[in-house]
Amino acid sequence: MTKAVYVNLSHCIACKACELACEREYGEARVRVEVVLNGAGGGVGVPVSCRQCETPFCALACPENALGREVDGLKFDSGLCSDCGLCVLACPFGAIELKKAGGGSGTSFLNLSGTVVRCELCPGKETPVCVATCPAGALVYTDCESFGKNIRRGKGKKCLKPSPAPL
Amino acid sequence: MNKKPVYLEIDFDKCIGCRACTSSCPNGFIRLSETGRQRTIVFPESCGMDCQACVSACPEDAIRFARAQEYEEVRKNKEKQAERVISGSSEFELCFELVVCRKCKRPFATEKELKRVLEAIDAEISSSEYAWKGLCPSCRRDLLREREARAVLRVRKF
Repeated sequence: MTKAVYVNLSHCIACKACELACEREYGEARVRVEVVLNGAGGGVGVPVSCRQCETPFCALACPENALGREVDGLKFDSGLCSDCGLCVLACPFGAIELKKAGGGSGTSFLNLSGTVVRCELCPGKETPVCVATCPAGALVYTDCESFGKNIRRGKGKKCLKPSPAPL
Repeated sequence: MNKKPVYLEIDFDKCIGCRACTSSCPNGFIRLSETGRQRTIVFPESCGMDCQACVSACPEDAIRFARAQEYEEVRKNKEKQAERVISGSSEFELCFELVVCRKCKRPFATEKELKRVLEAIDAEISSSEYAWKGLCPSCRRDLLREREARAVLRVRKF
């Protein structure tokens, strides 16, 4: 079963600790948190990172087969990548970015080329750093099925709790 | 290692204006600039290096190396190529108008790039209507956030 980083939105406090942890680890954040306001004073922090799609559009668009799906998740081969940026345009969630390589290069032309930046679930680590960092426990590293099960269990428990005695 | 220069032949109809060749060239001979709604890629006329990085990086196979005598012919035949030569130098340039995001109105990609991506997706998936069509990556993230937040806000009843 493919594991991914799931978000329990009602827990997120929009502290951006996940962004910071990712940036410290890799130089640039692969998860982005913004607050969505509803106009009535309410708001929800929503982190967005790679969703580990079952049918990844980025891989469909990749001309070099640098991106692809394997049993345990999406794989990216930087050796094959040619930095064309088509995966960035294919991702429905805007979860891929091209890292812009340093400013000018001696000429009057800006060097806009770069390297693909996408969450890879921290290869070599037991838990991705964003999940380990999240102080609110909003990020969960698990597979789809058990995440859904946990959400249902949580909601069920809430219903089973005896309602407070009326004053 | 230097060797006899080869001439660059670009198929202007094939080129989609992505950034593969500019970022693959180890010497930075192919240059890219973006001003406002225009992306410009400047190619050298010839290259004396012993590498094929740009040729193999191009997703559309639009770059070809030609020998000198061959190239003269190409240049004569193709007026297009001659037209794009920057006056006063041997370089030639290719300009693309960038599509603006329908929400934030910032330019983000060339039309040909978007067409190629959608074709690649459509070949696998039959649905052709996507809510994120015409949005830049940053606005796609916002769209996703708004959708996800709606459910939570409804429950919280602020």
